Amino acid sequence: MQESLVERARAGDEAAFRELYLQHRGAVARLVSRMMGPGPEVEDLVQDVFLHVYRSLPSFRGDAKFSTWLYRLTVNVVKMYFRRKQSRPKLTLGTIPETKSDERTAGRPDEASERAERIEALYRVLDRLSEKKRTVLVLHDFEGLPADRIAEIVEAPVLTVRTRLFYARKELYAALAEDPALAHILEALMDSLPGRPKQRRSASSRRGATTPSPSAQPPASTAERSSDTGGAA
Amino acid sequence: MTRERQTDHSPKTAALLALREGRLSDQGRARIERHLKACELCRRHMAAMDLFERLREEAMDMEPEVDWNRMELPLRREARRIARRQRALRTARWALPALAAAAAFAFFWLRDATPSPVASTTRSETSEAPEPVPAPATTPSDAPTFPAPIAQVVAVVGEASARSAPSDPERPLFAGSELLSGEIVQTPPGSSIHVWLREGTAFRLGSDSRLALLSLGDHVLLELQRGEVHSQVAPLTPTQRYEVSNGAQWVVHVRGTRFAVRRLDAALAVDVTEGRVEVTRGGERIAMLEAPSSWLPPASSVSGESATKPSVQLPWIPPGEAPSRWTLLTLPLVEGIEGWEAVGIHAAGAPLQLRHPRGPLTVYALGKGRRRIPLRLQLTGERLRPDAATLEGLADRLRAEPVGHIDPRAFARAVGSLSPALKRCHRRALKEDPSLAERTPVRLVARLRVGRSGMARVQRWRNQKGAPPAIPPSLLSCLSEAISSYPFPRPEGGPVLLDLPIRLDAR
Repeated sequence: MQESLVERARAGDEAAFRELYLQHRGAVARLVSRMMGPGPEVEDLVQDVFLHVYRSLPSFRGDAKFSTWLYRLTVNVVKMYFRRKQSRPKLTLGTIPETKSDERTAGRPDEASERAERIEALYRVLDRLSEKKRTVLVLHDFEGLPADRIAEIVEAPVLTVRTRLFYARKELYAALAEDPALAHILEALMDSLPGRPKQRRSASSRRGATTPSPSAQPPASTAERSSDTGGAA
Repeated sequence: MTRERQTDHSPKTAALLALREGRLSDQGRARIERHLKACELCRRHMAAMDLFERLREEAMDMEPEVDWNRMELPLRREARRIARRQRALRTARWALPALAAAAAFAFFWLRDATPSPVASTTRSETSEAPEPVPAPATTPSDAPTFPAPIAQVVAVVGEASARSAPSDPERPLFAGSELLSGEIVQTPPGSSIHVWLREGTAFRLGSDSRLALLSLGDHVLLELQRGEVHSQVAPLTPTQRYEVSNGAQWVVHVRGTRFAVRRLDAALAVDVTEGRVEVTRGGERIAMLEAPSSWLPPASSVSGESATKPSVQLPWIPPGEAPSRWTLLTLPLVEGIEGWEAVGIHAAGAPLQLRHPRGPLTVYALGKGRRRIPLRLQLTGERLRPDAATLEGLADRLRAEPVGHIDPRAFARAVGSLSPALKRCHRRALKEDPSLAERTPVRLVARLRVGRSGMARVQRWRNQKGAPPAIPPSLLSCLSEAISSYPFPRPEGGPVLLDLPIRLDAR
């Protein structure tokens, strides 16, 4: 099915070009966005990717799967963009879109901005990785591709991919641990690990004017099934 | 572990990863866990791993925002250019041998022929000339499949109808129905309809509205007789016009823009979120509105530029030129499914019909309490309607959603750690408004949705009686922020909705 579509596109069938675009545009946009971070450039780069696809498809020999070829092309387009720009783009809060569910639930703007800040911090940290490490990390941890497939995409041995992935993660964890914007979340996560030194926890649980009630234990499913569903409906 | 040892120690990422992923033997796990209890550096590293996991999930939940319509045209042009080049290459590939063969044939034929110029001429005139090189079969061009003065319904939420004149019988409209100049389109309460006029241009007729399509084609003239119409208009050429009137003297003229018009008794209210529109009355300019603006006519109780944020509910604009060849998707309401959401259309309490290009599409089935479940579809063929088993499965999942569960002890621990942040909010609010102290203790209940990654969002605040709490919005906002930036334990099996009671005391 996919092969015949690619064949038709290679032969210059406009409808097949369009079909390929419709089938793969979501995946391409996600990959571009995860490599770059959200921003207005994503749209331009997705368009660039498909222009390259259209132009290069006649020379696509079919040695690799079309999707692998498309991933490789997308990665290369993003890399070219980075090189053109010399430095990577700075992210701004305003460019980070809301998820669909947020639109629906009409989430408060401050919550949205909190979330946007967290995502911004993540991409800021990812941005510190070298291009090669970042590419491998995004393909593995965000796209869920196995190492051998990534090796095909980045045209490197599998072992190299695994090494890049390991060092990418190591650097990333270290950078996340130092990011001031994420410090409060990190502290809370450290609290939840076993064996936290006593003095830290006691500071937070000392008598306070504001105390979440002890009845705050989650009646996880019972809360949901309570009669109080009107407001959320 | 002593502090001296901690400072020259670097976390063993591989060992910590192995611990997280459960790849260690019992002995190995116990050893690393013992080390973790004492080593602040490794705890920090371990927490960073957890943090990355949560952020990654949050980032993955976020779909990139791409305006597909914008890239349609350049991509189509490029595809056409490449298709032409490919055809030319194919032609050249066999035309050259064909020409060579024809030349050889002509050479031998001329050599053997009678050398009489007359005969030759006669022969050449009457002979069957070599077959002209046939042009390769061309694919039919992507000519628009419906003529300009016709519009097409591309989505219907609930139901809608049209008639040619007030006295004519109504005909029901479906996604794919065509509309002609002169027809009147009508929606009952709770329904809406999306109508495609030409590439990049469409309107959405809102709930309980009536609109006369006085003219379509290059000069679009819509008469809003009731309700509201939201338009997205592609940049117009000098010969094109797009106007919305109220049937009397009020007319809104536009050039490439996004705007909404609401009918007010005898006038019109206008919201503009992109571009510029001109409002005239009896041919005289009343206002020139630049986006973003929200405008009410001078005669209304609140006239002129309104302080409210302009709001335009964009119509669904299918990309490309040939919606008639696309799949007609029907998403019905069944017991347990309270609505649908697709391509930005939110159809709560109503079935949804829509035309969409073939290929993958994710729609969301809506249930009670803001529950929603994605349904991934592969659109093929002319029509698609999820079968009964799929709908039933979705309804079952919606009833059971959220399906997650949080360990109560872990949750209680998390709430305990959250307390200082909430306390800070309260202190700040007391500083800003000391009178708040008189109203304490205040009891609040936050309805939380804790996502798969453990990040929570406050969906609603209420007091103990279920009413909106009477405390400053800045305090609520601060509390919400504190909660939403705090990582709760990850629920097992999916998101969880729960109520978090909070007591604010000034003492």
